[in-house]
Formats: sequence, structure tokens, C-alpha cells
Amino acid sequence: MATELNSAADQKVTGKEPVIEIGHLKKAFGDNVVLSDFNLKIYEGENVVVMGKSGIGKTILIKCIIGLVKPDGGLLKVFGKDISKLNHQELDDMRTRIGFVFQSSALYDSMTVRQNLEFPLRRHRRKKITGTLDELVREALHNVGLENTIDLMPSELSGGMRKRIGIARSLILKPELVLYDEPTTGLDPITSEEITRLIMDLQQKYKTTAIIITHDTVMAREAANRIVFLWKGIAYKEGTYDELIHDQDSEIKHFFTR
Amino acid sequence: MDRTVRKNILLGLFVLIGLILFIVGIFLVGAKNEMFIKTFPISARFTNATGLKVGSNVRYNGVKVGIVKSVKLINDTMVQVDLQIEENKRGFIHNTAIASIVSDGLMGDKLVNIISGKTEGVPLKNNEYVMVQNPLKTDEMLQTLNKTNDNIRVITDNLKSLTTDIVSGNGAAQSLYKDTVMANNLKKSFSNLDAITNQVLQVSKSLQQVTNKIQNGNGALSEIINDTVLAQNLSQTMDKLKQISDELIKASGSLTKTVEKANSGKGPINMLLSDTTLSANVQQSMINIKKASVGLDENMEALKHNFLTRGYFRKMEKKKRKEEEEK
Amino acid sequence: MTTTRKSDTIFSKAFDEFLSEIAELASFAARFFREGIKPPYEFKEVLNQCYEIGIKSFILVSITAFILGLVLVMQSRPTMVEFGAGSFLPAMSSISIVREIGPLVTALICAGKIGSGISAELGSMKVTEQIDAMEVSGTNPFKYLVATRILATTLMIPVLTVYADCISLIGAFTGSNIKDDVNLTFYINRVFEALHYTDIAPAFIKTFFFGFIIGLVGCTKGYNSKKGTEGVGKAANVSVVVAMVGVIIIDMVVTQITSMLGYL
Repeated sequence: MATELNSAADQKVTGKEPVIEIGHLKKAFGDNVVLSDFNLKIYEGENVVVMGKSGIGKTILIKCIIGLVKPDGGLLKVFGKDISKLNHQELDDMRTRIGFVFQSSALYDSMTVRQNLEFPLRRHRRKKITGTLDELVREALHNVGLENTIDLMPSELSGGMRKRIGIARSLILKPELVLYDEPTTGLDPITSEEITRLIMDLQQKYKTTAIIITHDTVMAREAANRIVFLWKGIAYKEGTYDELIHDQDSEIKHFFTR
Repeated sequence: MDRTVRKNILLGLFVLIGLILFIVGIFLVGAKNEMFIKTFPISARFTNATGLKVGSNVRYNGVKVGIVKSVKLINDTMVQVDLQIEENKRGFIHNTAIASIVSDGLMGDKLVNIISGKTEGVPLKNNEYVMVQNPLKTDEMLQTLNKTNDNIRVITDNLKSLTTDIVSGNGAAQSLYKDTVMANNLKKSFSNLDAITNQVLQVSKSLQQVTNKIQNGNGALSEIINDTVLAQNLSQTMDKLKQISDELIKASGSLTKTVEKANSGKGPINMLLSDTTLSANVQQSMINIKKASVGLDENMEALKHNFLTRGYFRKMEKKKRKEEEEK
Repeated sequence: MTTTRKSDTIFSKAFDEFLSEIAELASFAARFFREGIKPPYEFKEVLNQCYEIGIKSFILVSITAFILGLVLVMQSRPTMVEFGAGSFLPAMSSISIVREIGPLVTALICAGKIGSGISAELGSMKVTEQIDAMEVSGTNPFKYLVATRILATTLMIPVLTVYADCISLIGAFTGSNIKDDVNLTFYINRVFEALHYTDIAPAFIKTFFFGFIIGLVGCTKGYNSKKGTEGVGKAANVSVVVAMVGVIIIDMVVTQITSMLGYL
């Protein structure tokens, strides 16, 4: 199976277990086939950007990875474990190692910023995370540069700030793998750039592996070690930013030169 | 954190006050329903307990003294109503007191009202029965009717044998005919009897109406029972019947005497025979008495089948059977 | 696409929807009993929801209950007086308030206020992926959001009903005093004399069911709402209607059972 997967990545980190291994993943909603035969391997320390048009199934892909959406078929291994075979507790344990940044930030409206950040710590307190609740919250806020918002409600924050708090919340458990769902969508270019910068800084600080879903080419250029172009339910093309931007395929050309 | 603590305090207060209101409410309801007051039990047996429920009030001369604890059937005609009387009212209710079921106002619930007895008695003890005034004094009424009926039957029988004697011209009857004093007596007796039988007929008719009313009342039985006008009518009827029956007893007594005399052939009977008016009178009387007797019989039959009075007859029958068995 | 394909409806469209509505509620209720009673418990969140549901509905319930008590007496007074039964007003109002008006009004008001509130809140949480976020954070959103709310409504509606009963009785007392001069002691005496445990117990027990159905419907509609703001609005709307109908059906059933047991 591995042979048909991306060879460049395989050669680069040979002998290492991939963090994520996806093979022949299928997902359909009724007649709408979102993923037909998706294959991807991601290794530790990689920043993989998944690109593609809206509604093509990028979000579904990462929701499958974290177990929010059940795939119809295919193999899906995260940290070497088959997601479909995990029980509830094992899935929860695995989720403590994964951060998920939602497209809409998904801050809890009824809670303050502090409570929002504390929420993942309620159950997902891993042994390796040390420090009091307050210390952890302040560290997370410091990371995104929003220490002064600690007692505000999400409704009092701007879109960019909400994104930052969302990122801070995802990183509070110090995950090994972070899944970003369109982190710059809906933001102005300057804020987008700030967010991109922030993600890169945090990637370096915590040495995480990341899958970033975006159709922001600027972000793809800045962040990606590798770009996967999702189309027609498969990993249509893979490569670095430079490889893809010079690709002659009409679909990809159209996407990058828009 | 402060906000959460404040919220929880408010919530605690909210629930606590709600709980207190609930408990106070429960306690008040209990207090009004004698749940927490020491009580003692007495019972009353009614033939009908329409509208009486567990928890209905019990009043003594208009003052609330307790509640109905249970209402249960004990046989086909009796309803036992157990009463819970407040301990501190114990001394007031004597064994001569009379309980009845009355309505509390026009739209009110039914309640048990106990009134003090006409004579002095001793206070009721636990589980004793308080005397009861039933809506209809059917027992008494039926007894009266029975007696009247029996009396009339005796008279009719006697008269029958007398007339047979007269018609067949028995020797003994002839002497009756000749005895003028006796004849006059007889004449008087017959006219008396005539009047009485007419009265009986009338009463029987009105009684018939009442029984019809009861029988047709079906579902609205209670209404009829509680209809005071009707009840009064009934008691009047009964009084009349009693009177009549007394008179009948008297008349039958004198008649019996006359007939006995006639049978023993002491008086002249010729006079009686030639007196056609008297003869016609006798005949008329007999027809009337027969009619009245039939009417009463019918009434008795109707009453026997009546829902209210069935039990009385059964009891009578049972008693009779028992007596026969004992013999 | 045409003849060979299975028909889209089994009965009629409306009846199918009605049946799937019931199935949705039933499966949600089953899930509540299956998952909601297992640890870990979200005690803090239950308290928080109790606060949101109980205290924040208190004013509305109080005002409605007071006015209804007042109006009840003012409306029935002329007729009762005409029949010479004016002195039965306290007894009549206390029985109708405790048996029916208090529980039902509280439940209907809460079905409107809390039912729609819950479903709108859960609906928007669903739309903005907050429910997903919770799941990812290792908190079972069903337990944290749904079970706590159902539990809170089940516990709080009875408490609110107690308040509603008391306030409604005060309203009835006020109503009696507008045209009449009723002594408070007399009023209280008459009110509690008329009441029995057989009046209070069924009325109190049914409020728990009212609370349960309000919470259940609100949560089901919100949790299963379609994506988009329109879906949230529709969920809130439908949840109010379904909760109210549910409350009234439960009321009917409880009344029937009570009368079968002979407490009526």
C-alpha cells in the first residue's frame, strides 16, 4: 500500500511510523460522495496543507481524523492506532494528543475566555502537563498575545481575536498533532498574515505536526512543507508550493492563479 | 468564580424558599384534613352514602369535629362509613346522637352531620356505632303496610264466610237476621269499614305514586331521597296508614265479634237477609276491601323489588326461615 | 428514478414527519437514560442550568400566575355569587389553581421560554461547531449540554410550580378583595380546607414530567437542528410547539390516571 503513496515523503523520513496514515478513505453523504479513495501519510514534524475548493470535503477529512465523522470505508490510523477500532475512552485519550482549530473558532458563547480555555483541561489533563489551571490559561493567552481578554466573553471579541483564542484553546493540552480548519478564512489579509505567523511560531515552539486546511495561497506558501490538492474525492496532486504553482494541470493552475 | 458562587447561593435560596412553601402548604393541608391531630374512630351505617367521600367533613351540631376516613360496602344494602373524630371532641358525641348525610349548601359537598340525641346518653367509645337516620324510614313504613294488609285480609276472609253463610241460608245466619240490634251494629260496622277501605284505597294510591317515583328515579335516587317534600309526603302517608290500620283493627274486631255471634247462631239473621240495602253494602264493602287489599299487595310487591327496600324483605325472609328452621 | 424507486413517503408526508418526530424524541430520551445517568456527572453545569432555568423564569412565571389567579376569581365570582356560592370562591380557586392552573401555566410558560431558549442555544452551538469542539475536548456534549438541561428542567419546573401556586393564590386573594372584603385568615382556612393530598400529589408529580418533556424537546430540537441560522430558528419554533403539545398530552394522561385511581 505504501508504494502507491507519495514517494518523496516516504524517502525523506524512511523507517519512521507515520503520524497519520490514510488509505482508500471513503465518505459519502447520501448521493454526495465526498471522499472516494483518499490516500495520505503524514510524518512527525510535517506541516501538510490540504487545499481545494469549498465544499469539496477538506473539513470532512480532518473531522474523520479526529473521530467526529465516521468514514464509510478505508484505513485511518492516527498515532499508529486504527480510529475505527477505538472505544470511547481510547478515542478520548487519543484526542488529548490532537488539537483541533475550528473554522468558526467554536468558542463557547456562554463562557468567559478563561472558562473556554479551561474547558479542555476538565477531562483531558495529561500527566505531562504541569502547572495550575491559572498558569496554563495565562501561558496559552500569552502565546497568542491576548492576556488582557481573560475575563471577557467571546461575544466581546473581534474575529481575529476569536481565532487566536481558538488556537490557544487547541494548544492548551500541548498536542502532538494540530488540525487547522481554515484558520484564516473570513479575516482581512493583514490579520490572516498575523494568524499564519502565529501558527508558524507555535509550530516551532511546541514542535507539532500539523494539517492545515485552507484555500489561502499565501498561507499555503508560508506554512506548507507539502501541499495536497484535494479534488474529486482523492488526493489529486501532491507536492511543495513551488511544484504545484508551476503545475500545468488546468484545475490546479486555475486554483493558484485565481 | 465569584459569579458562580453568587449564582449558586441565589439558586440555593430559590430552591429553599420553594421547599419551605411546599412543606408549609403540605402541613396546612394536613392540619385542615386532620392528618396531624389525634383522633379516634367511630362508624355509622347508612343504607345510602351518595356523595360521601374519604375526607368529607363530619359535623356535630354544625361544628366540624372530624372527617370521613373510609366509605365501604359491608353487604348488599349497608354502607359503613368510618369517621375520624378529633380526640378533644370525644365527650360530646353520645350514643343517642343521630348521624345523617346532608349537603353543605346548594353546591356543597356531602357531609356527615351528627345531631345530639333527644335523650341523655353516654359518650361513644372507639369503634362504636353512631345511630343513623336514614333518608327514608322504609322499615317502619313497610311494617305498617304489612299489618294493614294482614288486617284487611282477615276482615275479608271473615266477611266471605259470613256472606257464604247468608247466601246458603245456614241456620246460624238466620238468627243473626232476626237480631235487630245486631243488625244495626253490623250496618254501622259495614259503613265504617266502607269508609276505611276507601281511605285505604286513597292512601294506597298515593303510596303507589311514591314508589313509582322512587322506581323511575333510578340514577336520581339520591335526589328523591333528599327531596324533603316527598319525604314529608311519605311520612304523612305512613301516619295515615297507621291510623287507618288502627281503625281497621278496631272495625275488624267488632266485625269478628259479630260474625262469631252470627256463626254461633245467637242473633236473628232474617232481617239482614231482607234488607237489600245492607246486603248491597256488604257486597260493596267486600269489593272495596278486596281492591284495597290487591292495591296494597301490589305496593308491597313494588316495594319488595325496590332498590332501597329490597334488603328489608330479604332480612324478613331470612328471619322467617331461621325461625322455621329452629322449629 | 420513477417507478422502481422506493416512494419517499410511507404514509403521508405530514404523518411521516410526525412519526419521525416521535422516534427522534424517544431515541433522545433513551439516550438520556443510557448516557445521562453514568458518571462522570456534570454537577456544576446542572446547578448552572438550574439557575438559568429556575431563577430566570421566576419573574415571568410569577407575573403570569398572579394575574391568572386574579382573573380566575374575578371571572367566576359573578356566577358563583348568583348561585349563592360566593363563599366557595376560595375553595374553588385553590383547587383549580393547585390541580391545574399552577402546573399547566408554569409548564406552558416554560415551554415557551425555556424550550425555545434551550433549542436555540444548542442549535447555534451546533451550527458554530461548539458541540464538536466539546466532543474533541473530551467532554461528552450529550452529557454536558443535554443531560444537564433535561435534569435541570425536570427539577426546576416543580419548584417553579410551587411558587406559581402560591403566587396565584395570592392573586386569587387579591381578586376576592377587589369586590369583596375577605379576611386573610378566613381565606387561608378555606383554601387549605378545600385541598387534600389527593389534589396535591398528582399535580406535583406531573410537574416533573412537564419539566422532563420541556427539556427533552428543547434539547432534541436544538441538538439535531439543521445547519444554518434558519435551521436554528426553525428548531426553536418547533420545539415550543412540540413541548406545549407534549405538556398538554401529559396533563390529559395524568388526569385520566388520577381519575382512574379515584382521586378525582
